[in-house]
Amino acid sequence: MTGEGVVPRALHAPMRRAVRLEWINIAFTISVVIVMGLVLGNSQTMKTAWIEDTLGLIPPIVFLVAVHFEKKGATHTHPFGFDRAHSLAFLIAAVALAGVGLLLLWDSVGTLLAREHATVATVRFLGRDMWLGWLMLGAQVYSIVPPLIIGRLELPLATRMQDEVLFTDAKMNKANWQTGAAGLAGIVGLGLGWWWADSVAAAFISVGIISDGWRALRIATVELTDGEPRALGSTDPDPEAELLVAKLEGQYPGADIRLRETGRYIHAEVCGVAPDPRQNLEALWPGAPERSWRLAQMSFVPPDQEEA
Amino acid sequence: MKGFALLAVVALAGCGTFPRDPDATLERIRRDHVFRLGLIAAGEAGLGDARRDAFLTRVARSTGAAPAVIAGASEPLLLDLEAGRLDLVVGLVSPDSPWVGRVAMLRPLGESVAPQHLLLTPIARNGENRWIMLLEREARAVEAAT
Repeated sequence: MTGEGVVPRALHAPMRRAVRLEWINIAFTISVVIVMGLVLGNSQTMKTAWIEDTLGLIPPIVFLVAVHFEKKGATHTHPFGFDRAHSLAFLIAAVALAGVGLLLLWDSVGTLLAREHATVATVRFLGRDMWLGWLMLGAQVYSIVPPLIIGRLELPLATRMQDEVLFTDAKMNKANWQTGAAGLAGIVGLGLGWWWADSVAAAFISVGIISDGWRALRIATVELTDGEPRALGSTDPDPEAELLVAKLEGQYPGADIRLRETGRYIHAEVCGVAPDPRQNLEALWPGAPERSWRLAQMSFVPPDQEEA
Repeated sequence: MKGFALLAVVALAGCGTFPRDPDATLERIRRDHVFRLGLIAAGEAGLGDARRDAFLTRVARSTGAAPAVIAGASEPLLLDLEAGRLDLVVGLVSPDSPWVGRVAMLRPLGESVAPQHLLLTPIARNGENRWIMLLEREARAVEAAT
């Protein structure tokens, strides 16, 4: 099965929107990388911001790849489908986000310790000598706007689709616009003769980015090691999943209820009871009905087949 | 968003004096009427001398300062420049000198290709951006005049 057929109907519209948004995101990020590359000078902060913008391409790319595979559905070689491609994409995006934070911290602390004074020279622009810092300011302002808008548009879609990759990309966009703002402060600081300004601003911002990246890494690891479902962007248990466990425990007293997440979907295992053939997954879902697609599968493990 | 507005105000308010030197090099030169100049002794005398002199004359005129000259080998002069004991060094340097990045190599005034590729370069201390702006402007003017 290919196309959107294997994806729950409730996800079709938001997924199309998210895919479109990520293509726009990639196009804007590439344009930012080009514009910033033209005015880098020998400012280390600008170079770091440029590397970060480049790393910002990773989450949207892995999102598009994961969605492509998710739509493929089960194949002969992948009988369970590719839902887990999303978990893998999430891990990659989380590593990229944490990497951006660490890079920023490393660079800013290094600059402060080395007492590096950035030289920002002049360029000939429209027949006049112009301080390159003015062009850098323009480039930084440009680099702030797309991630600021795209990140905000991604968040509600990520919630609707329970999409950790999109959520991490929203965090990456936040990291990028904040880094841009630090860079802006840095260039203004340089202009005022405060060589340390950009590094101090960047070091502060890096702490938040590292924290977001670390949290994303933990959630991705939980997901890939079959931990219980976590709430979007959080290491806390998913309240909808907890309600589902309670409901299943009520329905199958004495059974061991196990939930795990593959990408955005929840798989439930009811262990220690005989299979119950009459199941309606939609009706079982204890949360909002429009999110009932999250429960993708329920399986039974009879008592005699239970693992020790 | 308030942060951006504040930044914009600071940037606009500082337009006239942007950028400033962290160590106020240009301010001090204008105040004391002297800039501390290191001249790298050239192996082949005469290479680019006219351009170098034209450049230094222009810098002196636009700052109202006279050069206090020290001549010597590049290494000790660049160490002095890096440490802030000199304001400007001029001389022939290789474009792949290990000093590139440690000090600010500005727009070359001329170049020699044989026997090795060397650039007649004004060199300033990193980060003294207003002073560097003035030096670059004068280097461009020399280039335009020749």
